[in-house]
Amino acid sequence: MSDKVVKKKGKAVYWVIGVLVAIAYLFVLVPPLFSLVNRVEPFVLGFPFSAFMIFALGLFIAVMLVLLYGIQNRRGEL
Amino acid sequence: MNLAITLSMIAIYVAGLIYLVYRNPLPKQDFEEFAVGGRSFGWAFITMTIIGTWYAGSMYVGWAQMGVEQGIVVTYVMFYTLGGLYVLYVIAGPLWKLGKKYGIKTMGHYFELRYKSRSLRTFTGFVSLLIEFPWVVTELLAAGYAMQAISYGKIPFNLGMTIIAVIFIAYIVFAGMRAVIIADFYQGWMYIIGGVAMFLAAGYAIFGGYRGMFMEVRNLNAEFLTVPGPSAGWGGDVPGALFWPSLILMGAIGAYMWPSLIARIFAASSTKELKASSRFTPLVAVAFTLVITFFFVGTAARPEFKGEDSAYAVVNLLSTLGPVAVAVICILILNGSLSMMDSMVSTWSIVFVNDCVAPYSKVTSKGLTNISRISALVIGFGGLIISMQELPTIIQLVIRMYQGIVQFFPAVILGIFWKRGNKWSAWSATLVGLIITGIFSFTQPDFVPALHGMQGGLVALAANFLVYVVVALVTKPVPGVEQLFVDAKTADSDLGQELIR
Repeated sequence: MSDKVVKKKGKAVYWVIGVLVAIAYLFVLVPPLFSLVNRVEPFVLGFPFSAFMIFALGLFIAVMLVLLYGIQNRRGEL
Repeated sequence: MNLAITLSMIAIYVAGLIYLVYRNPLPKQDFEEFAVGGRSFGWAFITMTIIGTWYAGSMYVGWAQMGVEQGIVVTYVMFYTLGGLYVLYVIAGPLWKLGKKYGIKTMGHYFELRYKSRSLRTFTGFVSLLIEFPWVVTELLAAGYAMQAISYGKIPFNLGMTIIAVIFIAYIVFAGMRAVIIADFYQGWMYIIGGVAMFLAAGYAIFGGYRGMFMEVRNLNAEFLTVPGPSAGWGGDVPGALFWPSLILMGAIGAYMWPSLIARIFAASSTKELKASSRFTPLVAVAFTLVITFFFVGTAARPEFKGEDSAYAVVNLLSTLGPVAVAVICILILNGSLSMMDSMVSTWSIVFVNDCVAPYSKVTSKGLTNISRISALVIGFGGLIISMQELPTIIQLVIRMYQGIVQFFPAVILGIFWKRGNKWSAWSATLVGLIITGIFSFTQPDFVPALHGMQGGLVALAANFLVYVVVALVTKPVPGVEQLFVDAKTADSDLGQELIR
């Protein structure tokens, strides 16, 4: 077992990540919010708006998980 | 000439796979090595085995068809993949620690430890196998199609399936989960490099880039670019607003309840190595899934490639780029089929032995390993024989129970994080969930029109949670459960042994 001493640190950052991911998923899962995203125009960077937002939301959710791992790893909480 | 090019490429692919697998035999012939690879794999292998197992060969046929017929709704795959990775991240630590301390290898095994119910262990093993089994038939059919396509029809469909089945069953028998994870490592890289490169290049070659591709789709029918897509794609019966969220939720929650995926948790060498896969898998999920699913949607702009069956539209379109493209797409299909089938068949053989044989007998570790090998042979070739028949009614019925796998989720997640649960709550909740799922599966289409397109499995899941909580509150907790919760937090998070990176 690692002899690192696991220090108790603030959990606020995990709550922030959790809330941000939840908000992103709300835009995906709740029909009235998703309808804001679910349209073709305007095209953004060559993507229809829906495809661009699907990419943006997916990337955000993915980066949050990478960040969560990074913080836990740095704190020795894995 | 074309045939020589495609067959050379598949030969190189198979040779590389065989070389990697067979240079890594089991270090010793015991069940721990065979079932979980000695719990010795580092993050790179865990990352690739998650990717390799997740992306099936049939996606280039089934999901491709969804993209071609129903448009951008097919991107639900990315959101549920990401949701599943969060579920994995949450359950990975406690399950791995308990697995290490108590020798757990399967979900059913965990249930016996947590709920003190051997019958629940066996039931879980048996039912989860039954629900997952049709996948191997689907994947074998995809592999048969790919072998036929890569040989320009020279390899008959059934012979193609047989060749692929012999390859993966042989390496499962050779080294069990160790062979599967090493194969997945190879296959995962194939997916990332071959898949992304292939579809990006094809997008530019055929449409002049993804922008041009989306423009063509918009000009044909803009409904392809919004959810749920054109009504024609749904046969006129367009699902309601809750279909899309329901697809994502069911997928995310059920992802790591599949026996072949939850088994990955126990193969890692530590919780740190297990969770370290999160550095890459979420980003790969976004990049890989969107590059290919967007291309599937783009294929809708070329309806002339649908032919008699739109499931093959993407392969037909890519085939216009020449023999190298034919070989790459067929290798990707085979790659996905192999990585999924080897994971499933090896896991099923292990689940069968671990949950249905071991609890009722006193077979040695070496004996269990040999029974697992025989089980893999029987299950693998059984699947092959079934795949060669007209799909029997029983398989069609089991396919409809796909949503049943999600019904194990409450017993897993509440078992990990809530001490009140006991065998009565786990049994009753799971049974209620499975029964309600069964009723919806056999009386409704894939979605329930009266519930705005929601899937029946999600309704069953809500009832499942409710029953678990109510029964747990009115009955007594499992004696000794406190210690398990301590172990799930404090057990060594590292095996302290040499790991395979």
